[in-house]
Amino acid sequence: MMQMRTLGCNLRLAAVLLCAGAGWTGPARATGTEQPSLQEQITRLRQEIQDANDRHAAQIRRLQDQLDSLRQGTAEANEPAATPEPPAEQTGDHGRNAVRDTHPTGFNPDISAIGDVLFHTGKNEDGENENQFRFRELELALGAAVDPYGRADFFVSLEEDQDGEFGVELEEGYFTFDTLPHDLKARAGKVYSAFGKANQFHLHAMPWVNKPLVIQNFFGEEGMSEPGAELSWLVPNPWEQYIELIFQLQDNRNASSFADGRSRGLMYVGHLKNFFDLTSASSLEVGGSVATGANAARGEDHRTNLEGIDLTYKWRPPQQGLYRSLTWMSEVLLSQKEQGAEDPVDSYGCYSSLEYQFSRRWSAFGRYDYSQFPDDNEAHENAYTGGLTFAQSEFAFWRAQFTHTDGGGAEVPGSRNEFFLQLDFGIGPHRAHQY
Amino acid sequence: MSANLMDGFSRKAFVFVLVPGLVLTCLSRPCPAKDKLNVVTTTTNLASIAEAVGGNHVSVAAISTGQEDPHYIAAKPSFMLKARKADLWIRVGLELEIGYEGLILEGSRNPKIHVGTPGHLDASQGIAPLEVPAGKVTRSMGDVHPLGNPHYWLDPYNGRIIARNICRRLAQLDPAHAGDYDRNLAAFNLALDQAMFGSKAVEAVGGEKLWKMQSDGSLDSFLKDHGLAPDGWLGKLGPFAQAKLDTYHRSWPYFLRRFHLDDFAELEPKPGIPPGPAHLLDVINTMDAQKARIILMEPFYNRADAAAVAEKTGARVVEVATAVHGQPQADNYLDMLDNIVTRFSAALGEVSR
Repeated sequence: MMQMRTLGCNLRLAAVLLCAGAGWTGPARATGTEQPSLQEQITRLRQEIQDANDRHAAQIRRLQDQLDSLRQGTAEANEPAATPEPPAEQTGDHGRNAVRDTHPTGFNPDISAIGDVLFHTGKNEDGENENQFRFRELELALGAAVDPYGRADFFVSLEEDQDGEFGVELEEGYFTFDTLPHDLKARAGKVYSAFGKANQFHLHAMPWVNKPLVIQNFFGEEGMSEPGAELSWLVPNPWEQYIELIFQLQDNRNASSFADGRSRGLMYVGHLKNFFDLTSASSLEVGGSVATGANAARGEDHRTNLEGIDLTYKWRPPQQGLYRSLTWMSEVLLSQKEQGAEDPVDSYGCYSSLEYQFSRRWSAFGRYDYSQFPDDNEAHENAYTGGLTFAQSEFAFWRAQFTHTDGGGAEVPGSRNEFFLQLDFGIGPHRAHQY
Repeated sequence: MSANLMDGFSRKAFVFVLVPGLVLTCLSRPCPAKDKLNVVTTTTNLASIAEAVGGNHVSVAAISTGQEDPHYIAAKPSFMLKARKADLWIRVGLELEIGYEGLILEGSRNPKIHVGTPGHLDASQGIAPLEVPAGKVTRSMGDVHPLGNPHYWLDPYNGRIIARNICRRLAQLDPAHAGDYDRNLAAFNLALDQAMFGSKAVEAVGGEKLWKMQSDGSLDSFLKDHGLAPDGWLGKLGPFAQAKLDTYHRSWPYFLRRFHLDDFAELEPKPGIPPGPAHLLDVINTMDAQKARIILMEPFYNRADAAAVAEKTGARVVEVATAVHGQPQADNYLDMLDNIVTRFSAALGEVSR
């Protein structure tokens, strides 16, 4: 920089000297017989000044290049000794990269906020017509390494109910032990039950406005997330395939299928996840799930048992991956719920969903739902859903969805049509959810 | 009643989870003893360099194919499976992998490749990043990288730095073969230098001195003084220094800077934001004003955007992979760079006629 200033001064000095020189030589030349005209002298001087300017501009450019080169090229071959050495040879990437993996504000966790605004028109679940805007959820996500043994993640949800009142709920909050031996991983805290796929979706990660009816009817509108502990094992196998076995012990608080906190016993969930890469563009996931727990007050030996199968096929050609993708996802859930002295209610539900991305920002989706109820296998609902999603960026999307539902519980028979318009937007570095 | 229900449930649980689990457990077997270091990289470029440096002592796999946009790789469970057996995980760094690396490492159940361990290598160590944003960075700027532009592997010299980083880390993890890694590194550097400057110049003065002179601008006069003609990639692109061009994404500053080329606009209005008609119109006007006749883009972007601009401006679209295996000609790191230089210089030659 100092050199550039000096050059600038030199440039001005050169111009002054040239002008002064012209002034000094002018009278002497005026006495000669072959004196150039004044106009020629001016032209020549202009040319000389221009040449000087060009020379100095070139010098400045060269210096600028050298400066840039020095900035980059302390790494360059000409001065290998000055090249920053890979730090911490003995301990890995500590030092510079430890800083890189940390937020600029030091030990602060990654903090994200995701808002979800929904407009709904049509009949609601109670059979009433409504036109309503709702700030459905503000999800606050915090996550960071706790110590060398694991990390913590919290997802706090502020939700607006039908009456416009906001409530706070811990959607998930857990410590992940990710340094366990023998291909094990454990989580403790409040986590979504690992039953199938759709139950574990956060609102902003769903390909639809709302969860499938079978999830809503058997686990609640937002799915089943309870305090507890989880152990998962990545099963070594001779086929070199991804096979994960998950076992969860959770508090028995789910009101739809289980005891709503009235039982002293726990709820047990098991899930087997198999993932296969069919080609570099496509994959298939096949999962099996079971859950069991009491569904009545303590002292009564009434249980609910659930079994499920999930299938997910994904296609995303690598080279066209920004513009084309397809996801087909289906689940079946079977339930056996004891009801006092009566026979247990055997009920079931299922859904099948197809989502196709046909451009960088647009995708279309459709879903078919069928669901009975945990306490009633004579009533059922059918729903047909279709819609469009417009992702204006990675961090915000709009979604329009139409749903036609037939049937329903004993209280709300008949059919209804609903239209939803959703805006979902987030700030912060909230990392992607599981594939 | 409950006993019956539990019996039924137990059978189903057995069918749904326990039988497959038990069968898999019985079939599972410990990993066979291995005599090679398992290296897993995020990109195929890193894998290619790791193969060159590691030689016979390493087994290398990349999680990506080289055909996809490296910003948007999904954290597939199969990648976790690859990472699970890795002795060394290598990433590009500068937050290129911020969207998926954490999930893969956590899902791998492999603590020895976590960040901060010898098994985790950030290949950007020692790189001087370009375009490090000054001041506060927000998403209104698009998909900017607060630590600098991460496409540094496109400067051939940075390929040397990556190789050096890998060599040192392999030697740390496997000291018994440190000598072999050093020799492989020297061979890689020689091949890279020869590709860049040509064999004669490298034989005459050595690669280190040539890189130095290329950086400080004295190479041309040196070659002239010693009767050497510019050769290699520099010889191909040298005649087009200061040529103006447009790119789709801001992937090219390192490459263009090395060869003294001038990228003045991108088809993306902001990094990661797809172009709209208004922005494309601006690009067309700017290209006309600047007399730029080349649009440089990776094959994973929408060629229709570039073709629309090219049709209005008469520009030539150069579609070229920036990753190994991104195109048939890009079999390894040197071939990938050679493919870029060859296609690019041919197009520059055609438009400058």
